[in-house]
Amino acid sequence: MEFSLKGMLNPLLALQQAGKRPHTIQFPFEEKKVAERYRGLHFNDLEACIGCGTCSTICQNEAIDMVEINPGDSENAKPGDSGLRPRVDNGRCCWCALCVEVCPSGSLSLTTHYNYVSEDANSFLWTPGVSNPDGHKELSFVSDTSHSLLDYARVPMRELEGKERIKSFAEVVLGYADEEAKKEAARCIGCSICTEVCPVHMHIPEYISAIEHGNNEDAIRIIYDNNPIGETCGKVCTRRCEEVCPLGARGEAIAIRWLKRYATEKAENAEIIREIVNPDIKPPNGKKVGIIGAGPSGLTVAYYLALRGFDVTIYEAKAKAGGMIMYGIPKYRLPLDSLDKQVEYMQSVGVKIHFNTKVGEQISFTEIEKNHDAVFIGIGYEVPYTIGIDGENLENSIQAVNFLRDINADKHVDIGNRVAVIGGGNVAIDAARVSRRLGAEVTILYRRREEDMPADWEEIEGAKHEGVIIKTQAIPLNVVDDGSGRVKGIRYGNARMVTDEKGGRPRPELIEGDEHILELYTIIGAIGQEADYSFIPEDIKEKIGFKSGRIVTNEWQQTSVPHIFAGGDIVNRTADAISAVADGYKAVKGIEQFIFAK
Amino acid sequence: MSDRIQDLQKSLSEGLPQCSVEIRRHGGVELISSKENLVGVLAYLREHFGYRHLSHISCVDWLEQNQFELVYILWNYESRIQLFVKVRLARVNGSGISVRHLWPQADTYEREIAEMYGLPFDGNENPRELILEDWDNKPPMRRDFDTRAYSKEAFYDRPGREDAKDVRSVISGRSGEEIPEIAIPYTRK
Amino acid sequence: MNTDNIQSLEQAIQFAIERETEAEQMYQKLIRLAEDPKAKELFQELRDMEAQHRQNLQTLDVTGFKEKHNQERVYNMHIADYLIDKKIDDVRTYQEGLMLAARREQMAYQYYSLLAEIYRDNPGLFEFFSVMAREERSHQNDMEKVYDETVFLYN
Ligand SMILES: Cc1cc2nc3c(=O)[nH]c(=O)nc-3n(C[C@H](O)[C@H](O)[C@H](O)COP(=O)(O)OP(=O)(O)OC[C@H]3O[C@@H](n4cnc5c(N)ncnc54)[C@H](O)[C@@H]3O)c2cc1C
Ligand code: SF4
Ligand code: SF4
Repeated sequence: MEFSLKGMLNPLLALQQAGKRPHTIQFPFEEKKVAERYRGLHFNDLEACIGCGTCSTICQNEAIDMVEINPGDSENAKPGDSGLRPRVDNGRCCWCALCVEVCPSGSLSLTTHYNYVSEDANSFLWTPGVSNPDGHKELSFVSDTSHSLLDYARVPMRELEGKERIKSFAEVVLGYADEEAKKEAARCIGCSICTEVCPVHMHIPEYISAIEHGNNEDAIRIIYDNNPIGETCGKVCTRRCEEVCPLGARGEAIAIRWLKRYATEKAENAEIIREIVNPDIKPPNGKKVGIIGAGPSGLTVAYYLALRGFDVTIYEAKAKAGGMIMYGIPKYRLPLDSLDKQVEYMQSVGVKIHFNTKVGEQISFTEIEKNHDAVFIGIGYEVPYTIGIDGENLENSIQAVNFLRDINADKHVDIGNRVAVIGGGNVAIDAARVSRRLGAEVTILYRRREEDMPADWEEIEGAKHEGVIIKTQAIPLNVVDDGSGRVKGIRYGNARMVTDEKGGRPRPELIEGDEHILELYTIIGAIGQEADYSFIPEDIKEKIGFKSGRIVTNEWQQTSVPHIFAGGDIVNRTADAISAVADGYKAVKGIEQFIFAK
Repeated sequence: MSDRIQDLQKSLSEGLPQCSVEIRRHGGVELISSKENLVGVLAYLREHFGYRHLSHISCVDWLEQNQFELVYILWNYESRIQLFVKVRLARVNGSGISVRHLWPQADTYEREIAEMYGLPFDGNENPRELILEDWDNKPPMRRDFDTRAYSKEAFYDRPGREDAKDVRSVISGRSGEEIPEIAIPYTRK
Repeated sequence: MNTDNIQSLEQAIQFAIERETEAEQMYQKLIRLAEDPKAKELFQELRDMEAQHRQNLQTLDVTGFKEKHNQERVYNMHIADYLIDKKIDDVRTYQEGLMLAARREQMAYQYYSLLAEIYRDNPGLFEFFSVMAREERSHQNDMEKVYDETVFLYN
């Protein structure tokens, strides 16, 4: 390359001109290069944007509209995305970049590009990302989570320490104090994206905003609008809402569950709930509805129908209401007095519950049908799958749901000092953590990897903190007999994971020969459950549609037998408390429509 | 670089014991002064520490604390280390002190702050209008000025914006959520 | 028919048809026995599948089998290997039905494999039993997959 002195000096020559006014304009006109952080026209990464509209809300000049780029975008968008995208009126924009600052996804930026002057006024109506698909090449002002107007870090939840926890069944989570709750609530941008994935569509941004403003009673009223077990959900919900909260895209999602817990706990007993919610109870309409099972789905149906003036009776096989939230979920996650308070409140608005009344034994299904205008079935999945291997019936080989039921009913169960739990769902984790509290050393055997475990990650963490050992890719082969018909241990083999070409979850393949024996006192199976429909008469069973063991219903939870409705675990695939509440809530409308259309 | 910044912080603390001196997150040094000392401190920095250039004066409205904060941003051409001198003033009936005699360009910044925040500067009385014309409203950069209400009143919506949609209604419409009366006041506007 | 008597392909097919008919009848019986609607439904599907097999055999259409399972990967989860042997009369629940079906398909596979071995010197029979064995292996695979996705959803 030739050495050029002129090239070296050029910048200096240009410097001489600095400060002088130019007398000529370059032709053709060349845009000047602008400063690095220059605030020019917006760019939006349309894929990353979730249409939360925070940019539009913050804009003090009302320069930003949320619009459909293509007609129908808002109807067709996936949950977690409104389908709308921002459009900026640059006649109003002042380039303060507040919109960029508050964009939780980080999709919105300003660029070095600007409209100098234009004869077409419409060129100032600018849809970032659509008007400048290549805008990402000229970004200037971008958002940065390390210093932002948004707070990306969650207010941490205080918990009992692991060693402390296993000494008792005291509640592990300690709850937010007032200031903590307000601070956490203030992080919410109020977008409402979360409400769509909540099965019952709770009014999340509204109750969070009420908490932020210190109006906890309003928060409670808003929560009870479509969830009568808000306090339960505040403690144990599977919280799909938090998975789509846009703050989670680059930071931590709002602690929606803990905020709900905070608000609902403010009502200390059933009378206070009654006083705060002060529900409008319609005069009796003379219609009777029978409900089988006092689980979350049955309770929800009963509560909202009672408010609407129906005469409702729940038939419950057990001594207490709540279903699996009473007899499944351990008390260190959902204390008894919390549940009692919620059930008591429902009874106070007119929900009648016949306890110890198993349909099919103490009363027949036909009799319930005869005495009511409509019937709702919410019996849940209570029959455990067995582990299905040799030795499963040895003494001290037990089932997690039975074990948890007995412990929750205050019965003594002798599990000894060494326990293995088979399974990887929440039931397995619950059985393991309860066993720790009874003083046993606990190992979970799971056929797949930890990341495949269907259990909530926080539950898995909790179990580990309490000293539960998780052995993954371990396949139980048979239960070892001690010679006298009791469990001596379990023989298991290790597995390798094989990907499913069809996109299903990876499958464990047993590695032959790689076998081990774990010595045990007790084996707890926590593989899964199914329903017991034996109380339903054959002719009705024939008419009701079943699919993979679940009852088929329409969108109002109505079966193909018009006066029979169903919901909860026996209908939905998501099998959690909030889905059961959602089914119950839909059934209320269905039953009302059905009875009054007759 | 960071050594030089630490050296600077040390010698500034020694030279100006009445001020607190701290290193800022992104390099650069921050110095907090009282109103009484401010002009002396700035002159001293200019004469003895090579801070010959005033880049900018900015103002922060600490509404909740009922204070304004002026930030003098200084530049040293030799060390290339930025210096921020901060001073807190009363928000009501308070005033700054002009430094036009040190840096003539301060005139522009002081006029801007007087106009945008309504904070007068002693020694720079009755400044000419800078940007706003015939403004008779609250100074617009004060945090209690309602920009949104003002822009609503002052500007009309251009045609072509009628297709705007509300995110909350789109989401609730899609899921079939019915928002009860009690919740509506809490919905994001 | 006794396996010892199989001399020709026709006889082999006749033999297989009998096995499939037995399976069909077994599932038919299970449909009556099962109290659980979910299990009923499963047995109906299995019965129909066996009936389809029988028809395929009757029309001598083994080629269809060959193509199908050559494409699909056969997993070796060894689930059936360790499941308890359920007797037909014990079956009540969905899980028990699945256990029985998985074991049956596994046994059928082992049976046909054995026959293929025995008739290694008879190319026609060897080919036929091998195809049937692979078909049953792929059923075992299907049953194990169903088991993995339902009973083992949390395991
Ligand atoms: C150990 C465990 C932990 C769980 N943890 C969580 C969690 O953290 N978060 C979460 O969201 N979900 C959790 N779940 C799931 C949740 O509890 C269920 O999804 C939910 O309770 C289902 O409600 P449901 O109304 O369908 O019926 P269920 O809660 O199952 O209640 C059914 C009720 O019907 C009664 N019943 C049954 N048959 C009859 C009959 N013939 N006559 C009269 N009454 C009858 C039963 O006694 C029971 O009370 C957990 C489940 C278990 C087992
Ligand atoms: S704030 Fe960001 S993510 Fe939300 S709509 Fe605006 S650009 Fe999209
Ligand atoms: S919790 Fe998250 S998703 Fe829900 S409204 Fe608040 S910011 Fe939006």
